[in-house]
Amino acid sequence: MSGFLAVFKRELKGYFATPVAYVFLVIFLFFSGYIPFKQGFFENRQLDMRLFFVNMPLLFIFIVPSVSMRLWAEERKSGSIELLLSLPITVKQAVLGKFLAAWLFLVIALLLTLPFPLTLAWLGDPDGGLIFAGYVSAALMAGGFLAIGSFFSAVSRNQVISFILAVVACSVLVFAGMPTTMNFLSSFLPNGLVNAISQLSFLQHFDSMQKGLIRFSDLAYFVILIIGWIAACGYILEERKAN
Amino acid sequence: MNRTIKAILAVLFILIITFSAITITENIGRGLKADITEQKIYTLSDGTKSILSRINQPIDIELYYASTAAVKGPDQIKFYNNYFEFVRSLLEEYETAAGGMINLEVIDPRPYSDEESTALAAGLKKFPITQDENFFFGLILKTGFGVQKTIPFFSPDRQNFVEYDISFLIDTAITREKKKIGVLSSLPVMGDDVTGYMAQMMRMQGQQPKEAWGFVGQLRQQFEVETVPADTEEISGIDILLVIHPKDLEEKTLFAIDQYIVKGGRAIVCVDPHCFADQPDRQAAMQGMPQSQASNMPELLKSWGLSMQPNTFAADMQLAQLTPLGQDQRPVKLIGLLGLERGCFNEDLAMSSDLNDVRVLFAGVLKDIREEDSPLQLDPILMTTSKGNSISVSGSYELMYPDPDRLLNKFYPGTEPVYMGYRISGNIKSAFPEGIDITVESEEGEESNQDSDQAQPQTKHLEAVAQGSDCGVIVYSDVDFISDMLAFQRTFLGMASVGDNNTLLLNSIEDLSGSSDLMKIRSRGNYRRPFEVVDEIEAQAEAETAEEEKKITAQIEGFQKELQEIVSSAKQGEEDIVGSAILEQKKALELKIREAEKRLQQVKLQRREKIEELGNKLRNINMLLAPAIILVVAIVLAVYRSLKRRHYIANVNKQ
Repeated sequence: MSGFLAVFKRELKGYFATPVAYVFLVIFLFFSGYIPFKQGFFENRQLDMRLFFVNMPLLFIFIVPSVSMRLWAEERKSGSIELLLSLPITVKQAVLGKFLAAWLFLVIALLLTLPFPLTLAWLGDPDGGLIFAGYVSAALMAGGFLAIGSFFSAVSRNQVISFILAVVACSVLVFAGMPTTMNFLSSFLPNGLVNAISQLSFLQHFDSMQKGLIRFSDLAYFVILIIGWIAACGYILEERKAN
Repeated sequence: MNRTIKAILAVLFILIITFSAITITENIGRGLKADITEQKIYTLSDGTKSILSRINQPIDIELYYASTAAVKGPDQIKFYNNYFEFVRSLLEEYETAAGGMINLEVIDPRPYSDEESTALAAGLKKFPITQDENFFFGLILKTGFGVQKTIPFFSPDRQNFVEYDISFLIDTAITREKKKIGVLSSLPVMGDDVTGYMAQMMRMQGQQPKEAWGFVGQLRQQFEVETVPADTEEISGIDILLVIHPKDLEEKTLFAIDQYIVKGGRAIVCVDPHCFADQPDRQAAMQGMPQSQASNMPELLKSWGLSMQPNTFAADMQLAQLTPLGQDQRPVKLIGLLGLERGCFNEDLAMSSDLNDVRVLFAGVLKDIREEDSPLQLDPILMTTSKGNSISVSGSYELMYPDPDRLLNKFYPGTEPVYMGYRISGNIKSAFPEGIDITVESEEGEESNQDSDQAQPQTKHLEAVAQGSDCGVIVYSDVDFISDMLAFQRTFLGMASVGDNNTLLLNSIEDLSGSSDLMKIRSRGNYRRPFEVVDEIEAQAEAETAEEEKKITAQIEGFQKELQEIVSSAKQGEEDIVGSAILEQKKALELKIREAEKRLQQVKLQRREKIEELGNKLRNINMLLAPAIILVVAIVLAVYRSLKRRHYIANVNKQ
């Protein structure tokens, strides 16, 4: 436990010690505020954060891998991973510590978008439950993307490659649920398989949650996805350690 | 095995397990969910769940929404995107709750596609957006037994009742039999209920068969309508009972009505303290025999938690209508003839939320007399404005030849609405819990007293059910509103409905006929949440500029009038004499008009700019505020750290 806490603290502190994190925050906050207004939030006159959350998957496809790419690739490149894994902590503790620190950092980034709900509250009487559900689903989605990113960061020692691989993997899981992809797939795959593929998509689970309906299957999707990719990441690192 | 291959296989294995687990939880945890929206907009009402549990055949629901076309459409169309999302989510809930009996398909009908042809053939409404694109937002429902029903267009006006509309569609699609309506009335509303052949025969014999009232004809188009005799002991075999003008009904008939309702029957009851459609017998009137035109059944009304006073009527100065009281007479304001408009109908009930114009003629006043712990639920349907009040007359003769001024003088504005219609639901207690005794002629008596000339009347006890559950009654305190006098007008094409009177009756029947489940479906609440602040700003800006706008518009009108006068005077042949002067004047006026129009535009522009300015301000706050703060924090921290580092290096050098 102490090993996990030590990694978690070191990692979280690390984010705010470098300018990279601030650049990331500025870019994320700028676009998350800019896109809804660009897409007619003010003109629609509907007091909800649909336009804010609906673009989150696309924004996260680029933003989250940029956070996750350095998780392990940097340690491997600089050689500090040898030191880290030789300390009296298990790989599981190290993986979880790094993952949760990065996740918390992303949640902080999300919370910094609070001017948006505050704007809504100033403009009228928004549905608090709906906003809460939106944030929970966005945080879970960030966790899912991050787990995928951690795995690819552990796979390659080159940050750029791990970034690209994570972007591609996240995109596949987001676009699998897009109507156009499903239409395309249904032209040569049986319906059952197309449905199964769409069930694996981030979009389907994120959509239903951010509308204010929290289903067990949506929560389970994100939790299982995170556990699966983190386990795979852990396994890869165990292998490297043995090497 | 090579370690790398082993690692790849292991990772693949982990991912396969992950995705399998996701697929399994998708199917096993389907029912587990939490609707955390404030208005519980994704939670189906108990009524809908009950309807869905009765589905005995697969149902296909095709939701048509032209999402591609909506993108190309004007901003007003884009508003439907939110509404569509809501309808789709709600339908997904139907799909989940129906346990595999409902199959939902969302279709985006593209121009010239088969889907578009299907939508058009089914009668879905289309709105052309471009030369090719049409906008659709409707629903087609197909049952396994081949019944097809549609919602041609999801109108925003019905957004609060979208669940009711969908559930009603499903309920009627799975109920294949035509509903049977029984009409019990003291008036000849059914006419001479004869076949076409009999009617022909009567005409040949010089008799004119009496026609049924207009509403009966309308009901016959959708339902099976039959007469329930006014001296019945038991009412059964019908789905809805229509009691119209229950005047001097025998106790056994009242008992039959009571028991019909207590046993779960549905009824619409129209009572009236003075029914104008109940024309008194002229001969008897001439002989001076008093004739009442009132109907009531106080015992039953009381058991339903209501009362209606005799000779007391609902009145409202704001709603009173002008009407001529005789041929060639000027229309006068009759305080009892009320034109009910929006605001006079319960907007929380699906049956009355869409009504705009219902006319009642000297309707009675219904009072809620429920006890505090009553299990009944009373929902008002019709009411006057809050300035309505009741007026009383001394007897029915006062209304036989009404004096509008005298009646008007009796009225003084009230502070609360007066109610003229209620929907009662819940566990109704019988008005005759002990049952009743009726007199019958005994057959046994006849047999045993064969010598005697007369059969012996005997008393028979009718047992009662004391209390029922899930009862449903609608009571109106007017009969005339469904009479041909107020609800219909004869045109050369036949009877045509006037206002919403007939709609109110049909809606009442629909409300009761669906099932008790439909009555439990609540209004979904308003899912639209407007920018209140912006609306306020707009209203304020409008109020501020209204005066100026009015002034400028009046000025423009004045100038235009002047211009017209000049032009017309020129036409009178003086153009040669004052031609150039007129032309100059005309030019000057045109210039003034243009200037005024420009000023008007400026005023409107200012209003728009005010809103746009707010939009820009909010956009900047959301887009720049947080990044700016982060930047400042980052710079301050960088400077602080750099200073600290320098200080440290300096100190190290000193040491």
